[in-house]
Amino acid sequence: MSPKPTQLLALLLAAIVTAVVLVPSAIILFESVLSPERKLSLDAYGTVLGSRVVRQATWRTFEIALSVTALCILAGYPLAFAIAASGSRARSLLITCVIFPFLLSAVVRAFGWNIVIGETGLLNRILLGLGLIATPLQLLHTEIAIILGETHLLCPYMVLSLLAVIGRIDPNLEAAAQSLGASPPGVFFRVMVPMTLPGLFAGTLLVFALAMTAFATPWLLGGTRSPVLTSLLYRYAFVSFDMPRALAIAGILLILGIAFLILHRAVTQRSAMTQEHAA
Amino acid sequence: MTSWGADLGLRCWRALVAGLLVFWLVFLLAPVVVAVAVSFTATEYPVFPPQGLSLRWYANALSTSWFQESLATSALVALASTAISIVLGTTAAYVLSRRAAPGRAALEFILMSPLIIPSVAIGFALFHLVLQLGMQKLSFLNLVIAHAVVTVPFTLRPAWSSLIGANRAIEEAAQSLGATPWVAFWQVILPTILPAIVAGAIIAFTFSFNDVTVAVFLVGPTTKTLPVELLAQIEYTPDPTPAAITAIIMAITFVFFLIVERTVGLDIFARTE
Amino acid sequence: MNAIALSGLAKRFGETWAVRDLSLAARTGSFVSLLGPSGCGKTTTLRLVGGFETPERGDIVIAGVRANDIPPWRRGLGIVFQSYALFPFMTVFDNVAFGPRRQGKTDGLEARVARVLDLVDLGALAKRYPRQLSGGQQQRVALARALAFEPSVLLLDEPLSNLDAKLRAEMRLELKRIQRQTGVTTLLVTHDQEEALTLSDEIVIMNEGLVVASGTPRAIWSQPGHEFVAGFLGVENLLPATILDNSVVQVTGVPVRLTLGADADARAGEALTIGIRSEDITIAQRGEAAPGLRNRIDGVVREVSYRGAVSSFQIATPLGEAPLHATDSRDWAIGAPVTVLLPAPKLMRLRGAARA
Repeated sequence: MSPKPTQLLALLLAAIVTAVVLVPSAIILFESVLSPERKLSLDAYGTVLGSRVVRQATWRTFEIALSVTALCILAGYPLAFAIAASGSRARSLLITCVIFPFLLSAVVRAFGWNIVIGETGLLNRILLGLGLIATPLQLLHTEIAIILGETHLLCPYMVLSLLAVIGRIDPNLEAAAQSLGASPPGVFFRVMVPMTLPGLFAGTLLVFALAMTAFATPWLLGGTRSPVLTSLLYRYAFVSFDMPRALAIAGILLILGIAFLILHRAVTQRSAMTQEHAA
Repeated sequence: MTSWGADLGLRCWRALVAGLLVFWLVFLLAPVVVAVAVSFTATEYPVFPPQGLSLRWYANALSTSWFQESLATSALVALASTAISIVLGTTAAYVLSRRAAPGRAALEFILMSPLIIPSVAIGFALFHLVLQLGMQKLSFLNLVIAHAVVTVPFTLRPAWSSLIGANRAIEEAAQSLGATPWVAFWQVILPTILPAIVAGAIIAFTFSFNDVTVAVFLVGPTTKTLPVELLAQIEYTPDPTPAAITAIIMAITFVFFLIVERTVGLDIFARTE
Repeated sequence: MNAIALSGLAKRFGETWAVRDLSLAARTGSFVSLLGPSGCGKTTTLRLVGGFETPERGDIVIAGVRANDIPPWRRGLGIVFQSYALFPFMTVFDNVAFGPRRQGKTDGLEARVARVLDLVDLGALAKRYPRQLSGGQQQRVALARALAFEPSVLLLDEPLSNLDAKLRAEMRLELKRIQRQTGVTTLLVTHDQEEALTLSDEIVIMNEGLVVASGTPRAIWSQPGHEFVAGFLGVENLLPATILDNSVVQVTGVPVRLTLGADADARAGEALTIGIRSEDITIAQRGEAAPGLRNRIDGVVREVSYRGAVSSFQIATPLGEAPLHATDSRDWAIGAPVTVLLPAPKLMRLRGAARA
């Protein structure tokens, strides 16, 4: 197609996405540093960070994000390698198990988790049955519930990040290592894991960012007892109509989220340089 | 290390790996299985394992008016936003696949930006904007536009991937045979990338149908989507009806998942960027 | 009239000039091959003719009309791409019918398509899809599709390179037959010299964006004219020399003179390169060759490579450091003293580097 119509289309597309996503986000950031007299000021941030509730929520958000990331790494490796090593039937099955929950709505998932961790839920029954605890654990509306829920939500991202790098590992590497005398655990830790580091790095950034900015899962599983930053945002916006605070929290989430996700993009672009070629 | 010792070590390693794998698979499937199981219980309250088997909660769910209304709303919103998203995404894929033009990287960045900005921030930002523009009454429109734009990365990526993979020479061949670029697009390019467009459409539809984070900021009294409504109603519904509704939603999602698997294959998920 | 005439064509990609100052003409009905190594600019030239690239300089004239500003969909050229580029979601029939349909030539479409499919021997496969066909069959469909709308020129971009050797040989003959039958002017791009030699009425050899030699296959084969062309066409022996007179040259740096076919334009003192193919050199036992023969050189066999019907020999001679390459069906042992004969008619006069 001759350049002109294509350029016009490109401009139109960019304009639409900018207007719907980028401009509103910029407005939020901008308004968050405006005082009621329309002057630049960081007062809103000051108030918000001075509030004990917010500081607690922030700390909780980070704690949860770290735990979730660690768990996702523990889950990601066995799942990713199992998928990579499987024949096509098992592979399809495994991918289904990983991807299908991923597609489900957060509400539906949280509901399921609430049943699993409830007082008479599956988890308590198993633990009681195995004799590991004497009385049922009260897990509803706790941080642990949120951690479980977010790990469930985000481990597919880790699995996919790892799969992307595993796919690029020369299949002969494993055979070469074994011929040189390495046992399977040796091969795994000395050869495979180092080769997956880019994917691990990318996955960690992604999961951490998404864990910090998740809304539905912590809202449903944490309730009012264990709010995270996103829960507070919703509360200030819809319950107490405290827009200045809401804007400040939104600003924090925006900056944190964008920073991590841009880092993630940078890391994956660099390692994917070999793949997509400019036409 | 004696070969017996090595053998034992190997077995331990294998057992560990298998055990971990099983653990995580159970972890992934537990909420799904449990929710579905509970939905079949005959009791008046959710209990696991289900006691007695009954479909009464499904019947109850299907006759609940808020379920029917919000299901319809979700479907409509998803249909409308997916339609728009496909048009935007396919056009974007076409534009991006042209040979290197200045600003291509910038365009790509802008189009993929919904993946970089946290959805909760997008939701809140749009809520704020809607408030300022006084468009609160137009919640259906707001939601459709929001979903349409936020799902552009999902409809863009498969189409773009397919365009790049498809033989570029096909377009030139069509041109050499007398097809103008417009004709070539509709008669040759579009049919070639159709499977990818369909896959993107299904992913976008699923996202919109199941979305809570953006929808919760944009719904209004006249427009309530299923996940948001379910969220609200769970608190007031002590019986297992939510479980039945959950199971219905899971089934619908599973159908979508199967469609994607049959048409384009699951590799579309295995490719991240 | 010339079906295609290119003059002074130049095309740049970024900093590199893929084509510089290229001129060529193809007579109507002729088969012209663009031959050269990868990167020589032959595919770019084809794409310029097709209209998919715009030249920085120069004119593209198709059937007497300047075509530089005409977009590809109005140039009326049939193109067969290296990857065939068949439309995967259309049957063979629809693929072939695409061109005529674009032109609005819908009456007698069935007959026209059938005729063209018969021409390439694929009449029975009209209802199949490209994925159901073998590589050779796909190639024929691509050819049929390009011919169906009766183009003024047929452009072929390395059409046979994806086929295995046997199929390639078969398709070469097919291509020749089809071109003769339809009489369509054909421009073929290839790096395979055998292909170019077999099929063309005229060969144009390109290197680094320029035409280095052009002529009939026979002429180019026997007198490549350029050191580059000779090397490209597989001439193994290249000797630097200086002209002494019309027929005699002095090999540089050694006390050996060679007698060639007379050249009236030869200027004494000029430097040139002498080339001779390994199969044109005769090997004889030392002392057996008749002493009166010109261009006799004594040497010793250094290396032998058995190749079935013939063997290749590397023979050390006073002609220079590099051994002479010769082939013979007889067995010569390493270390055997021999006399090699370089027949005057087979010696080539070659100009130096390929850039004029």
